[in-house]
Amino acid sequence: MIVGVDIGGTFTDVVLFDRATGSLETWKVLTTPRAPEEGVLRGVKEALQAYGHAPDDVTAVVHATTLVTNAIIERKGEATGLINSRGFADALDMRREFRYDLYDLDLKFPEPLVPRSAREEISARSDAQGAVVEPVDTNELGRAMAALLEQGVTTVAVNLLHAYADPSLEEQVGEWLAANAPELAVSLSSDVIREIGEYERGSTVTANAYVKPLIDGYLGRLGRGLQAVGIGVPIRVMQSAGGFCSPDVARRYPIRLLESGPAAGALSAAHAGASVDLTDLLGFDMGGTTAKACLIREGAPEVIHSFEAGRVHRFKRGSGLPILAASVDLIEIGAGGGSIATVDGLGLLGVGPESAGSEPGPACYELGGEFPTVTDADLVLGYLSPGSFLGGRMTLSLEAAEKAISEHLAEPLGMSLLEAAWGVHEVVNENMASAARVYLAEKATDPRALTMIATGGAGPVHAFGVARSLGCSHVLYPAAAGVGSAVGLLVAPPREDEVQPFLRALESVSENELRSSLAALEARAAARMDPQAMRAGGHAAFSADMRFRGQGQTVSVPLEASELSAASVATGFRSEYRRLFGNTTSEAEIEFVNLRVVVTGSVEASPMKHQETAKAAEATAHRPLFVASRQGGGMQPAPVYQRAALTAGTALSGPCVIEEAATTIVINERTDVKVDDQLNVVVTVPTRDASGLSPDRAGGSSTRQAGATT
Amino acid sequence: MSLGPATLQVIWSRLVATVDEAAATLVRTSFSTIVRDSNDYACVLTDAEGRSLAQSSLSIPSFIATLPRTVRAMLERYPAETLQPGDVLVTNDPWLGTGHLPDLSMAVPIFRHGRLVAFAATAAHLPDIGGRIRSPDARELYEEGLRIPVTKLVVGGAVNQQLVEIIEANVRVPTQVMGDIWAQAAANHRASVSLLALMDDHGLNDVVELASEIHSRSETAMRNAIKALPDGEYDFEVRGDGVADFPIGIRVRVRVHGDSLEVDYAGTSQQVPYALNVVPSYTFAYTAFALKCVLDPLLPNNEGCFAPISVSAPLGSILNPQAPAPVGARALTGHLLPSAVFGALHAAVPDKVQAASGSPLWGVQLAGEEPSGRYAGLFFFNGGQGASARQGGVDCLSFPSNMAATPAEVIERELPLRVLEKSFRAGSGGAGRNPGGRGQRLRLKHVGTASASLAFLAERIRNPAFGLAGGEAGALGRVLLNGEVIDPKARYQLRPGDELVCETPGGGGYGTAEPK
Repeated sequence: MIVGVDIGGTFTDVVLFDRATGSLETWKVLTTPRAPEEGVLRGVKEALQAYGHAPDDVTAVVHATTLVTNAIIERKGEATGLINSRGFADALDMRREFRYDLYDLDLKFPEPLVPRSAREEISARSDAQGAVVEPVDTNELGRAMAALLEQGVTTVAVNLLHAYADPSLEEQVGEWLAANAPELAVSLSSDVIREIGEYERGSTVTANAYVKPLIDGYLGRLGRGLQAVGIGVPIRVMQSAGGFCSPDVARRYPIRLLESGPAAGALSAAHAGASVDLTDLLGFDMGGTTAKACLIREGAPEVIHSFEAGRVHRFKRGSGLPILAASVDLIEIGAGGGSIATVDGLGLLGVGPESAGSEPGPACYELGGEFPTVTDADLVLGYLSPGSFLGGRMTLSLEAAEKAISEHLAEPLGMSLLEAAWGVHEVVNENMASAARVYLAEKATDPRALTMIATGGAGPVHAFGVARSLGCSHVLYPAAAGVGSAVGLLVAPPREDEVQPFLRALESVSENELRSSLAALEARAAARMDPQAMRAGGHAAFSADMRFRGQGQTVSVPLEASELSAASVATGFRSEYRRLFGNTTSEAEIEFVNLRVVVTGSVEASPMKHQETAKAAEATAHRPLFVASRQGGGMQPAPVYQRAALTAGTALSGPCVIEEAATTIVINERTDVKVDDQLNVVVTVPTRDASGLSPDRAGGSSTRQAGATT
Repeated sequence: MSLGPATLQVIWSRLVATVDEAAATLVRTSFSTIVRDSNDYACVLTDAEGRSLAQSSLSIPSFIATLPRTVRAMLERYPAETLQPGDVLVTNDPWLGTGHLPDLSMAVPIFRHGRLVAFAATAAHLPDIGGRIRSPDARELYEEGLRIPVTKLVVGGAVNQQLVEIIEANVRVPTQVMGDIWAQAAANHRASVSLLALMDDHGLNDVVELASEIHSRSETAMRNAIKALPDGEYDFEVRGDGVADFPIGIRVRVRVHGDSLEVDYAGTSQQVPYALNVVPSYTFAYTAFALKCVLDPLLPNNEGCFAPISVSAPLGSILNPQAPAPVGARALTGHLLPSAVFGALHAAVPDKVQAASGSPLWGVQLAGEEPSGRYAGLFFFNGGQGASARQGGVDCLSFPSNMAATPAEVIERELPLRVLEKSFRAGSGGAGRNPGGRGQRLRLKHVGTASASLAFLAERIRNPAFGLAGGEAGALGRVLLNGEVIDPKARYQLRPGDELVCETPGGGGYGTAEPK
């Protein structure tokens, strides 16, 4: 049995997966922020007990955690020092000197994780070819170390100029520190990430050092705790790139866990698609304050090699700390159930990014929230039901929602209540669709070729509308969407990423040289993998970041070990270039920039299929639902189904509502709805010309059966 | 049909996404580092008359409101009845476009059911446009490269091969230049397709009502913001170093009257026989940028925003020069305009403006030959931001343009230089209740084997970034070669072993510093 554990902000989700039977069991406990391992241990213990399993049955524990992200955002890391080459101690404050918002005169930037007083300069450095310019002077290093220790520093980052080209100087510093201050945790920039750029690499190694003692302590306590309850198998830790690593690797490179949770979510979406043979997907997750979208191409989430942590301006690129590490590429949008709707400065109905959060929350929670939110609009439209929100654990006040929307939107804008509520729903959908459109355009991907995978508390309520605006062909609502991310843990492969700068003209690199460079890179990555995982189907995928000479950005080109001649690499580059950019008009020289390898092991889990039955589904109730049409739209009675009662093969038609414990699937138009053999709900999105709806043409409140719920 | 407050919002968001999608296409496919890393481009949708509906979000200020003017100039040359589907119009004329030759402006007409309904337009900085390497030394526009009048690059889907050959014959890197031009065409195509899909989805046959709603609401928002300013005439003067015997004086008068605002640059320096001249569209762009920062930073860019604003400068002045004045280094002058406008408006809204920044950007240009081959490179770095009543200036920040600094490791990889130091210049920010941002000290050494030709982009060597409300000016910029102060407006030979120190200016402080 594999145990998956996902620590979220509020809940720690536990899933138990039995490989033999394909059964999936889930359990939730409250997260214990001060000592997260306590929540994890309690969750695992309780889940095993509840479902009658013995600790011996557990063959693996896979784990995703927000610990690293939270430590950086909340500044909970330990006192960190930085040793860098002389002349560059200000680099962390100087950044790259650009503005992330052109019109904002009051830009704020994140405080560096290491104060200026805890940065020491030494003369050691190399040149761009990796040749030593100034060697390590141990007297000087000794003074630097003493100064840092005096400030109470317990963890140190080392970033010497051009260490990406030759790590030997940093290694000497590391060895000397290990011998002379063994109590210090040390992170070397050339070990954490071998990429050019003193600021970005420095920011990455500093963040790694900052969270290192924290993760070290946590994983130690967790391992001992599991052992104490009789689970002796090693823990697997989910990395940002969508694969797990050993606890040893996680302790050495904790910064690779930064996007641990979202990576599990993306894998989960990829898995839901793969189980029904779909490979080109748009993962769409919408919660209380933000929505996320992630492109999955050919069955795998897109991975980028640079992103940001702890943005001070949440949705602005450039307002965070740059981190060079492989990570699933997703966008975050300030749109969620709690997003507040207002009349904006242009006299239009605007939604978000301000959010009512969970406190005071939407007006309908009656916890003091005064302003109308997306959840309030969804309630008025009949998409949510006052009595069955969160499986009936929370009662919503329709009256409070109506009051907030009337007062703050409908009256000032001269709209009916329903028009205003439908407006909120459509505006927030378009905000998300527009952001996804630009994100997909950056990846040269046409949304019409994608199936949307909808997860999160508010995702299934809005996915249909967002997919329709984007033109996605289908929306798939995976089974067990409520613990969606944790499912991703079960289907994660072991994975190690490695990169090597390689700025060379393609023509100047022989096939043999390229092959041996890649082999060395693979060996570096494989050394960190569990040997057993390597034997059981370990696989290395090579790629190169390449460009036409003179270009700034690079294209990631897959390399086949059997086809490494300059001619075949050039063909591969041109074909990838054509895919992304439409043409290759250029005869310019082609060059390598970086070589990369991803080593993955095999995936163990693969849930079983369910027998299809032709059993007709029965609606448990009918309730009025806002259904849009060309003529306007209005409230119409629509069937309500319970997800748990739907069996494989069931066919339904929209408009309808499907309720489950953590969310509600809303289909507000005529269309086909199917339940597949994985118990996914799959909805066909009507083509563009079938509708063309406008919120302002929504019917008046006269068609509404006020307050009625059945 | 009528567009209510929700439908209009939905369509408007999508319209902005459409130009941002086009921008993503342009950035992805472009060769120019300056396009990719510095957002030196813009994508715009206009109505059939060339009035802007939406502009891409990340464009630098140089492009504010320039493209719609260019589209209107193209319409004058090629009226609607002479256009057909598949046409692509281009020009890089500084007076019709963005103010210097390397920026190519391109527009394509968008037809729906056989009727011209809109234009998709882009402007972007090409990798090269021929002429002399960019420098303030040019005495006439003719030295600055190829000038393309309004021309059809593609006629009804057929490429105008002669124009392509003329361009290719006049630039140093023809494949890259044509690659970027086709990238612009791809971006325009993308915007056209997306706009037509939007019109399908929302049942729009034209954009007339949409345009009028967008323009009137934006105009109203801008007028309301202007109305909140006290009426009056606000004067200010700033000085720039200029070149040789031509220092620059910018005199500005901002007249606020009810809900409209006039900016008049009467009294500003005459045009000069160096490439510091700024055409009216660039004068407008950097003036409008400053006004938008103060008045309504979040308002999406379109024609309506700028309807209540007029900008004028006397013909023959450095802000409204007559052809064939050279214009290539327009930024050295144009980047002074935001601080002039802020300085004037300080009397009206002291809390909303900021003191002068240690701008424009600085750069070092080095070219030569080493045993490994020929090299030529230009890299950027910045001074400190001006302080405001709200906060101190940020140390080393690009303003008002937005050029990222080149990492030292990249400089050393591409040029025979060693970067010995890149650190903050202590005490360079102007003192004040809120101090100005600090400049930087960049120390370089020539570690190659042969002399290299060296030129700078540098400003505020003689005229510091002023402070406001009693705040002091930032420190002057300085360049030292082997310990001797040198004039960065001249060209030099950098010999092996030579050491160069660039100290960028600090930003001005705000408010009187409290005694310690």
